[in-house]
Amino acid sequence: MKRPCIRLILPSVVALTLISCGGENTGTTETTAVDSTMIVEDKPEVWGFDATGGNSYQVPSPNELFAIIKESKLGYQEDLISMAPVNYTSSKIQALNFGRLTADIAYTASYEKFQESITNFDNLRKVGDDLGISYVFDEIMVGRVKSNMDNADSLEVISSSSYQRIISQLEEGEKGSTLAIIAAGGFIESIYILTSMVETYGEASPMIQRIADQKLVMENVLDYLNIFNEEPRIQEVQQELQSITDIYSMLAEESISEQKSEKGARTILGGNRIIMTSDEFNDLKAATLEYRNSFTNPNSGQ
Amino acid sequence: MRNLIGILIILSAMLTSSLHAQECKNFHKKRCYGSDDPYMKYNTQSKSGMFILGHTSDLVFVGHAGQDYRISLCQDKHVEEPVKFQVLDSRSKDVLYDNESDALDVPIDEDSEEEAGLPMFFEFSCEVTKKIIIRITAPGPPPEEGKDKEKGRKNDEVDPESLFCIGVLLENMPTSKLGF
Repeated sequence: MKRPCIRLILPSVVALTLISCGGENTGTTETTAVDSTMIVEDKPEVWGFDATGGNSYQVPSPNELFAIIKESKLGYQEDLISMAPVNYTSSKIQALNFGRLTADIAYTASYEKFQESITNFDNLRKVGDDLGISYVFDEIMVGRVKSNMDNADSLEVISSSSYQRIISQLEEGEKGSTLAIIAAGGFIESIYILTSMVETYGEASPMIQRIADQKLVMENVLDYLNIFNEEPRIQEVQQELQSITDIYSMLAEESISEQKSEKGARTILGGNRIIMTSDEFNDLKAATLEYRNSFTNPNSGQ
Repeated sequence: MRNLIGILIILSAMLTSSLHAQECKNFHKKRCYGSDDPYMKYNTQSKSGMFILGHTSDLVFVGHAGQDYRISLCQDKHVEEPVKFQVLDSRSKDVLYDNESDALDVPIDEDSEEEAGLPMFFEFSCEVTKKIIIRITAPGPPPEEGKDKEKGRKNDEVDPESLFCIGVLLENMPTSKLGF
């Protein structure tokens, strides 16, 4: 990972440099001590879309995905997600579960499940506190969530706007690597929910196509994590995701339409369709469940 | 005394640059003009970034099948030239849109927000789920060799005035079905 680095001039400048570089606390076991020997003289490539210089890989919010899934008219499944109180110790597990809970809230909010949404919002705040990012939940947001959770029209909107606000706050706080793990946790939970909603595999099923399409999201999650791959906790997540990424990487693609065409005044972007077989679906479902359970219940021995 | 003044100048420049970078984080939310369509919703894959003259950076996002998207760009006003942007397919690297090529079809309006006639937005429908690259090139040539030295800066120090912010606002809505 390229880090913005600044020439060591005087101790006072170094102090300001360390503050402006904004290294985040990733937990006592995973934080590397910062000293003057770490200040590498390098070109300060701080420009571009990513804080570390260069390109940015964006991950769609779970709200965006579940708003689309809602249109499929598949029913809500009870007992799919956990609402048990949460208590996680390592920053990696906390961030993964923070992502999990954002996906759970997006799922319950899209099906207008008030109690489930509010319980998991409280759980999300608890994990946020443990993760040291409690500042992302300001009083206005919390008040708005609590007072509007029984309003079906606004539940989805509030869930979505809360997610936006949390992501913005974390970006402003330069919590890039934490955000990358949160994105991975949200991605895994979304795949877990989607694969659990499918009762029987159908090659032409729109839901199967949505799950196969998540291959592209997975690629962005991996590229996002890779920006911070010098952090041990990021390396761990990359390794843990391997069984799932292996399955997705093997999915075939076929060209089904022109890359670009015009229909009246409308520009249509087409291209490749991703294909997922029944075996690949079953493998993905099993691998996702196993990994999801490993960080949701880290002490269960799974 | 001279050293102290030097330190203060360096600290001030660093602080200004840091504050500018901080202000840039959500620039797209404050300054980019989105769609007039009330069904178009903010997409969390939107992002802003700090750029230096002549620099190119990619924003890679995922567009879902069955959704309409709008990409809107905005930039700091003190930069006189317009931002160049292309939309590419991430697999084939085919250029799907180029605002410089598209400018030929856009009449230059002196009162328009779109400086020098370059379009600052692109709208499309996704027929399949696609990974899309938005390639942004900041206006102007890269800083000239030796120019900063004349100003007393070293090669690896960026002139804070040549840094500016570019926002990319993404919006989406379900594609409306044509006909009955």
